[in-house]
Amino acid sequence: MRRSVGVLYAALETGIELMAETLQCDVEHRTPDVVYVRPQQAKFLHSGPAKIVRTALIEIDAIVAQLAQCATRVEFVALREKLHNDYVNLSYIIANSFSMSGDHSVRQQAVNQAIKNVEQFIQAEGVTAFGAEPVREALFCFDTLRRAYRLVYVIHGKVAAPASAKDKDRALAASFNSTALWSQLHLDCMRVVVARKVGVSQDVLDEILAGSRLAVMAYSYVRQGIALRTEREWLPTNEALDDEDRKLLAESFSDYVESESAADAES
Amino acid sequence: MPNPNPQRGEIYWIDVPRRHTVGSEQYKRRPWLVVSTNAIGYLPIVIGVPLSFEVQKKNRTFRIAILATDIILEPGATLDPGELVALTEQVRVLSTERMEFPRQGRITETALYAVEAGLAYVLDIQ
Repeated sequence: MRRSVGVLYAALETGIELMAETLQCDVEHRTPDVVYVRPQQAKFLHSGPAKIVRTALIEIDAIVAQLAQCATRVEFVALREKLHNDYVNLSYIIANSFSMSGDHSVRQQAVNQAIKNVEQFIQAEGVTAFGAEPVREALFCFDTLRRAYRLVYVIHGKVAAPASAKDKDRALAASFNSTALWSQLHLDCMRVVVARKVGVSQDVLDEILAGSRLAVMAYSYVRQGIALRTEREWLPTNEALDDEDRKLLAESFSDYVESESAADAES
Repeated sequence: MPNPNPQRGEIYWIDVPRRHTVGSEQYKRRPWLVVSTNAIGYLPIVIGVPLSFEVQKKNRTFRIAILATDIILEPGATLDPGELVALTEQVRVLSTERMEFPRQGRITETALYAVEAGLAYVLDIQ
């Protein structure tokens, strides 16, 4: 195994702290509305916003290329702190350009397509650059981001959160935006490392993977946003079993008792 | 036995003897996290994910770390405070007869949905 999972975990915790420190741009976005796109997805937009998106992505690639060339983790972290605000601001420019269409299905289609393309690229070319396990980790993060964005689309199609939960909803949206962007910044680093065949040191790779992993938190925050909108009440326990349920339960437990007895007899 | 009614997000000690398992299935007494919906609370089963204390298993793809700050232990819990990792690939059905009551604690909503991200990947739930 090329990397130490212990180091990765420690880096994750540090990453969360650093993310909090470096999120100084304080953009007031009230819904989970960032996107993940590549230049090909600009075609979903009219020519004006499409041009803005392409230009912002060129700038984003310039930021990411600088990060990908860092020789040490210390250098990477320092530069990330310096460049992160620019990455966030450019990402919001892209998000706003996609918001102009007003059609959430366009955003969803664009995000799905972009994630799929980059995922396929990393899967095909990444093993040579990083080894199998970091690629597996990156694919998990992409897959989790895809699920998170699918839930964002669900949220946009649902009724608003109850009035009593507005503040919580807003906080969840902000947390989704920041964790999704943090993850995307690091996944972009992986993409650029592979595309430009840049050598990356183990400690920088650990930092990149730890950052990518914030996709899990992005999923968690948007999922909580769904839960706010779908409060459910369950039937009281022990009152919903009909005769068929009882029969099935009795059968499954008789299987269990038989296997227990056989196991006990063997031991 | 009184109806214990375990809830999603709660942690219980459960002993799965080695003789009840095969190959890489998790065994021994360890904390388990209930992940099944409360809607099936009328059945004497839960769906659970085993929790590990082992650092080398931490936070790798679908194995989801639960930070100590996300675990709310009950007063008198015998579970040591500290980080745990949810082995989502080991999700399974457990009879409530296997569970040691009372519960040891529960995890925050944020941690529970993070574990759900691992489960969604393992089960390929879209």
